[in-house]
Amino acid sequence: MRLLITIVLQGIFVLELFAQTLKDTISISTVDVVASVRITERGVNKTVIDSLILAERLTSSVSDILAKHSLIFIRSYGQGLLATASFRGTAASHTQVLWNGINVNSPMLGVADLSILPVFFADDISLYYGSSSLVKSGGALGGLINIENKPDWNNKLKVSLVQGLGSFSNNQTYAFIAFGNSRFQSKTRLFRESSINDFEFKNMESGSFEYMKQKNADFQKYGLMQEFYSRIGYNNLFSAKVWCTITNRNLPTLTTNESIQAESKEYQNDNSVNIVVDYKRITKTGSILITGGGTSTNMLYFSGYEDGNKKAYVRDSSLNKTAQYFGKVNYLVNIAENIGFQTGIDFNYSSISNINTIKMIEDTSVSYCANRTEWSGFARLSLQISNRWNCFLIAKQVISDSILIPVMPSFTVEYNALKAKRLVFRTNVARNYHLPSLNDLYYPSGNPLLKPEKGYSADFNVQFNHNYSFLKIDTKLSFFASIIDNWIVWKPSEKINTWTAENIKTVFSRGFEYYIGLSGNIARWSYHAKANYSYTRASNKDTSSINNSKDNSYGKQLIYTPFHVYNLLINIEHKKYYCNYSINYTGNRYASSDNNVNSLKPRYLLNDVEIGKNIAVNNFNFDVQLRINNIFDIQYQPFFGRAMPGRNYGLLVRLNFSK
Amino acid sequence: MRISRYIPVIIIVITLSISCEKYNVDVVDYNKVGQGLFIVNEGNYGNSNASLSYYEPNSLLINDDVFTKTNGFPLGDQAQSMTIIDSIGFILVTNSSKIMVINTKTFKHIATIRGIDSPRYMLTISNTKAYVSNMYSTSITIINPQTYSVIGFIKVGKPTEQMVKWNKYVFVANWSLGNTIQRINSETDSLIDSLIVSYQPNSLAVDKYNKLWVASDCGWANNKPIPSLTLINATNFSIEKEYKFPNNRISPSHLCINGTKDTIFFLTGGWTNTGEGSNGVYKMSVLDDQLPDIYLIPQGNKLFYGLGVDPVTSNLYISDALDYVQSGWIYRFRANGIPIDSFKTDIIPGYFCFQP
Repeated sequence: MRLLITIVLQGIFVLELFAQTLKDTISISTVDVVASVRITERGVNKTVIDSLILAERLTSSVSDILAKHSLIFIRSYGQGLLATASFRGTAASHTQVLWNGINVNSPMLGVADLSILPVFFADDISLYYGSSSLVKSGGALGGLINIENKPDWNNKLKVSLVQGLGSFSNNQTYAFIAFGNSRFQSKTRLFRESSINDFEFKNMESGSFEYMKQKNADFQKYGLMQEFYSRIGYNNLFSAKVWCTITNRNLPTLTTNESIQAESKEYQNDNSVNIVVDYKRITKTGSILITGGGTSTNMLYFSGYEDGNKKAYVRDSSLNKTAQYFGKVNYLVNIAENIGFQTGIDFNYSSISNINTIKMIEDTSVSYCANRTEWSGFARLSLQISNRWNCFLIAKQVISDSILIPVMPSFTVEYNALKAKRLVFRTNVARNYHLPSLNDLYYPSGNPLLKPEKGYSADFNVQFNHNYSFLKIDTKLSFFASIIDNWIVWKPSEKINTWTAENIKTVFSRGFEYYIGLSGNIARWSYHAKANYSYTRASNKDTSSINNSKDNSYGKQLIYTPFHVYNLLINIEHKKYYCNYSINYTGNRYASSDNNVNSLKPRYLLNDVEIGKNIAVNNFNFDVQLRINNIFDIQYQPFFGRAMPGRNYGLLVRLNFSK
Repeated sequence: MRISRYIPVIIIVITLSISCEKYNVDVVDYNKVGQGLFIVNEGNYGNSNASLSYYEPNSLLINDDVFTKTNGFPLGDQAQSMTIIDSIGFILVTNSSKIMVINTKTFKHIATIRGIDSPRYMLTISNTKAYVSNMYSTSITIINPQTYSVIGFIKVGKPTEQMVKWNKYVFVANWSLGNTIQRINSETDSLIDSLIVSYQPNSLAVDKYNKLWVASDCGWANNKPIPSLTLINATNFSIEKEYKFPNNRISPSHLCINGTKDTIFFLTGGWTNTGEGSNGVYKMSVLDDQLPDIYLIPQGNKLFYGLGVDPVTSNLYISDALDYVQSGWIYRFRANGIPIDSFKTDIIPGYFCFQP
């Protein structure tokens, strides 16, 4: 790999000499994204992942991007493996993931696997913190990740081919073609990624303390996304989008596992299809958006081994199928210059089936099917009281299987201290409910009496941005607090040998987040610097803990919730060369609810660097990028016993053609 | 500007100045004498946080996480049980597919026995032979406890759990989704026959009258059958009596027998502190004709998870797993149910191993 790097570096400089003879054209754009000012988006605590990051990290997964460039805590079980997101000390199920308006959280598990989606498939990623998520969806007690795809109406033809190679036989191929005119656009994206993923790590959990190679961690991922956009005039917009994925992953054992059974296998195969179709009509005073869609997933899990005759012995195997159908109508109207009103109705039908084969004995399959129908309606009123004061009211009502969930209200006040909205104070209080997943309700014997998790939240933030002649600054400080009651926990039930979900915990989460983004030019250098920091204190307030004198979990930090998280990205560009340096810190976490020091998981700080070069020739744009992850070869584990790679390298070559 | 030249240097300096925590492998030296008690803390499945505690009843001293502190690395994932032969301890770590061998005085790691799919319990047959039951395999693994190696297998066709030796026979409970007790000839290492009992027999004991006691929990289905204790004549391997519990919400587990082999103890409820008010630790004479009407020690708001009986004093050791993700507690009682004291251990204390 080092030889390859040398060749690439030399290649970049040769290309530079070559490029000097060619006309200078555009490089990858470093678009600065500012908060949208649409009425539906005002009064919202939201972060948009910088388009610079999306453009230069397009071969990464969304989970990887969020882990390194946001304050969301990504619970990753290893490279290429399941990765879920948590906001502000809440659970992964309290994070909703929307793809073009439809919820892609599994109705079975309540979480979304963000390792499956490559950044290449996203045009826009936004994060809605806390109750700000209510503008998009209910139930996101922690927050919401909104992933969108958009048309470029000016595009005639654009083709992009990307090839990535990396350590551990990582091979990524991406293709993109978009064509059309001002009335019709088509975008097709394809990707394939495979990796043997046999990285070397120092195993501190076995007696040998030796470096060893990760085993049974290879994966293959395939994806297709097709988008069609059409508009009649400028007022009628149609779109249809399909996103399909196939992900086959072998699951590595824990670092403490010393099985030598060569035939032992554990793997998970996921297939999914997501479809969304929408129609938007823009009127003089507002718009109406009608959306329909569906998702379908199949997940096969297998743990077992084969004997000498290739006969499979199952330890544990399950086949899970889920289907969701969505329908939405959203109407927005500006009643007056200073009054906006938005209302909508959502329909969601979810069904799941599960077949679980336990052990190697015949006739021991357990299966269950379940479904749920949800209707919800919401209204949002936006009032501009004066030039400086705005307020926003949301009321959302959900009916789940004929059960009326209490109203979810949200109230936000916004004060613009300076002209041009450069300094904004914003505060919000809200109540939100999160419905149990279908597994929570029905698996294995279920607990149909589960109540929705109830969250009360308050948020205060100050946002400032300004363009000075030499510097652009964008900064935000947020304080948050939330109490989540009826928090669902899985625990052994009175029916011996099984676990069920119960409304047990009360959690008080509070803290603050700080973001600062600086950009500008120094001489012929341009730079961007972005830093995030969060402090989260998420403590157990379950009163039953107090009643038991031996229970030391009351008031303690939730397990695997870091107190401190920060990250920094520095981007420097000079003469079509660019360098991105990022650091990402995850603080200490406890693995026991009483915060026993023996359970403390060490903090870690990772450093990554990318250097690249853009070369443009006529309509072609050529980009070469070299990447070094985990520069200082830190041995770290997000979860105990889950090995992660040390220093590793990646090479990316991208060819763009546009007309 | 000249400052631009220094940007890479600034970045490197900043980065290098930020320290990273290293894995700590400092170790502690122990040298324990006397008759202490090992407590195997199961830990959370998939978290590799199983641990070993050592309790000294004479000094009331508890030594936590002695394996990691001594050896600088953890025990593994989901430790199930421990067996001691002389001064060598064998800790069976189910989800790490291994048996960790330690010196019971110094807690130093001696060897790791690999090649066992999912070890649950170990039964000593002789100085050179021991059986190991498996949860996810249809064979019993035979190991040599002197060479710390796998020397054979006994095909039994079912997952295996607790085992007990009586004369040349070994009785094996087929707990996980099973309903049989198997009988193995330990001289020939061969399965002889099996007997159908109530669903999911989880624990066994042989009393002074050569009777085999079996506790069956009957699984977890809503409409599961009524759990029971089964009394088997060890001599002719036939069922003599079945003690049915009043309803299917009371499930017995952790059946233990005292040192004089005339009294059995078992847990009901286990796993949970919800529901049945009649859950707790039960005591029963091996001559009793019926199940006791009421518990000896009520579970109350605790979460009884493990039970052990000191073979010398007959004192009871009961573990409370609390919420399963924090340090559990051990309650000590006299055999008549009078409380002695309590002490804290680690996550999910599940098995008590008394030094022979």
